[in-house]
Amino acid sequence: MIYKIVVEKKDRQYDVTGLHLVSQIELLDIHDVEAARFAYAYYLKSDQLIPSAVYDIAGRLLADPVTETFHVEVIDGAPRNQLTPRIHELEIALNHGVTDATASQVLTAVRQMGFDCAAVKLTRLYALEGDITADQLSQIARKLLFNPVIEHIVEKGEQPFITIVQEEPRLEMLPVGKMSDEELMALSHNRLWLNLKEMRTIRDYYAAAGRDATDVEIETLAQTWSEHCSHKVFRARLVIDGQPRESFIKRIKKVTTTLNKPWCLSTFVDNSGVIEFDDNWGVCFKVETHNKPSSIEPFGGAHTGAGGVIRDIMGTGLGAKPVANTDVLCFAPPDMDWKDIPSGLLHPKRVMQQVVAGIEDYGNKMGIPTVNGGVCFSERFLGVPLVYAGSVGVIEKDCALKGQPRPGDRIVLIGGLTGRDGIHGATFSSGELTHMSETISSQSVQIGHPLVQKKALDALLDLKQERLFHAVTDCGGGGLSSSVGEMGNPGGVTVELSHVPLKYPLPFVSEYWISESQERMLFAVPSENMDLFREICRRHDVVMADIGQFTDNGKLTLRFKDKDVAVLDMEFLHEGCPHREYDLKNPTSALRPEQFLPPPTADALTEGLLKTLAHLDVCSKEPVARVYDHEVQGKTLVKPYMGGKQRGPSDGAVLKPIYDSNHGVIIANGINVRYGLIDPYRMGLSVVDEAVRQVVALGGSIDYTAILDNFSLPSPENLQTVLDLNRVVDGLCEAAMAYGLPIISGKDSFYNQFQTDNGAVIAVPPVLLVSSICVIDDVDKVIPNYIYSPQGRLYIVGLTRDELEASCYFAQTGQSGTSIPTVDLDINKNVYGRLHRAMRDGLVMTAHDCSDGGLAVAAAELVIGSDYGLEIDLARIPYEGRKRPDFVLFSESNGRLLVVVDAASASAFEATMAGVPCAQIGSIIPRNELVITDGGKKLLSLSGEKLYAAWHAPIAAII
Amino acid sequence: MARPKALIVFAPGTNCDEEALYCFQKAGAHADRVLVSDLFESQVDYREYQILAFPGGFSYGDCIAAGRILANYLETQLADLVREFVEKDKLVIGICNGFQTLARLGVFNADVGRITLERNESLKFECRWVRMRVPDNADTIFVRGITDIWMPIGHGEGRVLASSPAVIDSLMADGRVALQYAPHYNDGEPLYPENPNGSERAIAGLTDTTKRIFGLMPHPERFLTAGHCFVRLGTHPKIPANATLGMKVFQNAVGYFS
Repeated sequence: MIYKIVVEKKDRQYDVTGLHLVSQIELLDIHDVEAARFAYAYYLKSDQLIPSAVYDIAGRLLADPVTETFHVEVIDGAPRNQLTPRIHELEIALNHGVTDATASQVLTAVRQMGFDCAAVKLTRLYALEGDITADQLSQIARKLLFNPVIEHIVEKGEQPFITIVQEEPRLEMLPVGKMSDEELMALSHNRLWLNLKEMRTIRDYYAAAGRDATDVEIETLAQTWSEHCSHKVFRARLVIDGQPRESFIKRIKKVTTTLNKPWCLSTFVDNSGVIEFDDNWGVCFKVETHNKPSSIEPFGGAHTGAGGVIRDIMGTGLGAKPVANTDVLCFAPPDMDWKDIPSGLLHPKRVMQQVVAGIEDYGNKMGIPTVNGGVCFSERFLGVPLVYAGSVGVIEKDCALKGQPRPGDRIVLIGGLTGRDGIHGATFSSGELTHMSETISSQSVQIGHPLVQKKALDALLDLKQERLFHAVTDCGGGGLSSSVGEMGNPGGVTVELSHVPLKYPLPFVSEYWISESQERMLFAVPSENMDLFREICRRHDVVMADIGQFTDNGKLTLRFKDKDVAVLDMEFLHEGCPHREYDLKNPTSALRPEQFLPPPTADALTEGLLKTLAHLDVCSKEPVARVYDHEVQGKTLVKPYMGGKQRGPSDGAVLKPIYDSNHGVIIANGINVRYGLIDPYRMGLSVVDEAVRQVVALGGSIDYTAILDNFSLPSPENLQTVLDLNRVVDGLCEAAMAYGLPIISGKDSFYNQFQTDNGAVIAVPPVLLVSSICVIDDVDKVIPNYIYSPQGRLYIVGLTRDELEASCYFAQTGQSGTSIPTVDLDINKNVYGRLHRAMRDGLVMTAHDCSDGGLAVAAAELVIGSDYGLEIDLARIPYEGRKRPDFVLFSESNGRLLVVVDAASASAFEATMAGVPCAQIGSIIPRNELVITDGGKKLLSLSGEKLYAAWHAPIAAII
Repeated sequence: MARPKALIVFAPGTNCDEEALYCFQKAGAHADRVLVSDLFESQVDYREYQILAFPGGFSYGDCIAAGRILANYLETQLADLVREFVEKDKLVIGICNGFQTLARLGVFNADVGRITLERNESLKFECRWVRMRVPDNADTIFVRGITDIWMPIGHGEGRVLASSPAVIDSLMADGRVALQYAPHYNDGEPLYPENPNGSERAIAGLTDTTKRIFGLMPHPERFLTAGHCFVRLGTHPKIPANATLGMKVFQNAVGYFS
């Protein structure tokens, strides 16, 4: 007998899924759905259950007695009743054969209640009301309601329980050694994403070996040699303007090795960079991109992006504990008109909402606070949004170094089951997206399951406590192929693929190996520890499998049921990929013409400020920050929004990751998506300066600050991309070297572009995200970024110049000209050093960084976050250039902070800052108001509430 | 009496256990984090403990509903666990997901009807600091000496709803409402987001009839030092320099046995 129990909300106001669905359908440009209702259906299969027991299960376990109602049906195979024509019902079920963790939890619960039950299946029911066509219904279903890789729409009369017979997975033989160039490229196209030179190298390997390749071998090579896994552009030989230059990766690493900071514990060799925290602990930090998966399926892409970087922390050294997340996102403007969205792309508002929801779900369920981030906008992110997910962990110092597997160690896989998720994910991320990508690459999107990863984390920490393994790493892009391949390099590995636990039967042997299913961690475990290892996994309800062993024969050997399916030399796999070479010439750059409006009137200046506050890069991101739990673990001291009104934006986050240590960690991010198109070099300098300035604003010292670099660029086949990158890397390395900031980890992402059906390319601008981490020895010395006192003097440190090109103010008022902000590295370093000394001496009450929108925005934010106000005299601001009031207010010159100093400390502060640009420009006033004067003449005054309304509205309309 | 022992129950998906454990230890208890399956397999004897705590998180991934699977586990596999603490003059606290779990067990229901925790009225998960008041007639040990307290919340399903208005009246009359959201800087009724989830009568925390089981949505364990507060204590005119820390809830519980 099969019972179907349908549980739904009694009142539509509680039907969150239904309510959200209506607004999501609007974002598909379908406007005729008036209402949507949602319900769960639970199918129970049992020969013993009597109806009263079914009602008992429904009433006590499945339905909420206060807000939900249920009904029970007996399934007899008869077609369901005809419904009214305006109501469209859809039932979504997992495909037969797909492991359903939720159903098995319900089954366990039913049995725990003492009832006999053979199986449980869950489905989701949607009822849409409105005049919609069958085509629209199918579009809604496909885009919002189910993922065809694992789910389907239930058909009339379909039996809920069907047993699937597993067929033997197939192995394909490929005669690559004998292929012509054309055949090689046909094989590579849309599958391997390797170029002809690389394909020929593979052909030569097999021709010399005198044998055919298996598809497992070819897929392994494609994955290991993909841009995503092997960073070909970063390792390429470079000749720029006739001069040989070191590869990008060498230039970046050189900064770290030259600086040689004793507190850097592990850089560039592990899943994250590790620096010293105190005598016992280290902190590790990693930021990654997950751009292309997020453009195709924003929730899943961001979800697994967040999950993936958390695993990078878990897989650092001998296992770290994640304590904070940070996320920086770039989207197209969410208010774009439908007619401007090419076919094959999602509306940017939907992309943004779903990306935020994905990060929220994963971070919150892992119990890791998302403490800091940023959101930037440009129409150039319409094709591919940028999703930077970062995570910070703590690790015992004696566990900070990467472990080494020993020959004979077992290869143990724990956590998630393996399915077709993310097949070709790494290779796919090494190619351009097109309007067909949504269909072709749908299976490249991974499905996340944070509960599985949370359990794996709990198990990992216990396994580490018992010292049961020699090495650990995560399975990320490239799946087992990449993680086993790297962990087993150069020694060798022998893997039995049939031991990999599956979600459902896989048709190809190669998929066992290259699947990018989430939540998997890989360990090297000495045989004698296996029993205890297994027991700890059992206690945490974590799946584990012994899939092979580490060897010392220098070979990657894969077997399926004892039969060899791949045998590759480790050296060829990891070193065989031919180097790329670029011989490039910088074009002579043309300056953009100056287009200035006449100096603004008082009214125009007021309007300019309100408009600049509403610029999407400037406006408040509070609605985003609120859906992320930023307090879990009880370690967050400085939160995203602080002060009595909880709306004063912080320049970064401060954590106290070890309860009994007074040391702390500052986390901040520097990014600019407007400068790179005009001057990639200055963009590189600027974002380093911003990332450091924010650390300084919170009381951190640049002497204990490390940074991460994360590049997002269009296709490197377009040589301008490589030229831009060259300049960005110059800016990054010069600034990092001058400030003494070791670069401890990084990542690059190429091919962030989309080709529309008429052949136009929407490419991202060159973007560098610099994330900073600073260890402080006393969290009580942290400087607030909000005003908490009715009195005090306001200073600006740093020099303001005519640097408004691509500024938020110029964007909002249609002006152009002057230049992208540069960075005077010597002056700024001096400013930051002295300001830090003033802070250590207790001379500073509040500091706030001036960046997007300039000092006017920084001042407005201080007023917004406070009960008090500021009065500022523009005439007193140290300035170089045409001192127009609007230029002074909105210039985005680097190296500047607003600083509030108590009158009693003013002379000591000024003495400390002597010799660097620093001036008192105003003071705190008791009213909650921003007043700007120019030599005594009042230019504008705006109340805190008016400023807040303009600044808060744009994102509040979306999230 | 010797140091009381606190048992922090840990299920798959629990994620506020570390800070709860630390708070109990800091408050003077001997505290252990124990997997719920270890309790079932009798690897740990819960009768040795005086305080039972269900911390926050997403136990079992919030399968079916928040706290439901864990509640079913407790009800069917460990039926004596909560009873042991209630009947022997011991204490039980459920925070956030722990509150949701205990609510599913029915311990906060009144004779006249039931209560539940529904999705927030804003339809969103929200993380922010809120101010709460302790009603005059609330007399649970956990909030002793507290009249007014700030704590962070972080939840998507914290809206207290009842099967009828009489349920809330009865909980109020019986002194079982232990915490109510309050306006941040003035008198009167709290508006959104001061009442962050739309709870009836702005209820943030409840007790059972014995007043020894306490469930609350906000997180006292996240306010463990002054430095955790969203303002610098001593600088805001409406927040006392010696504001009550969330730690006080744990000190109260431990103090009951000391």
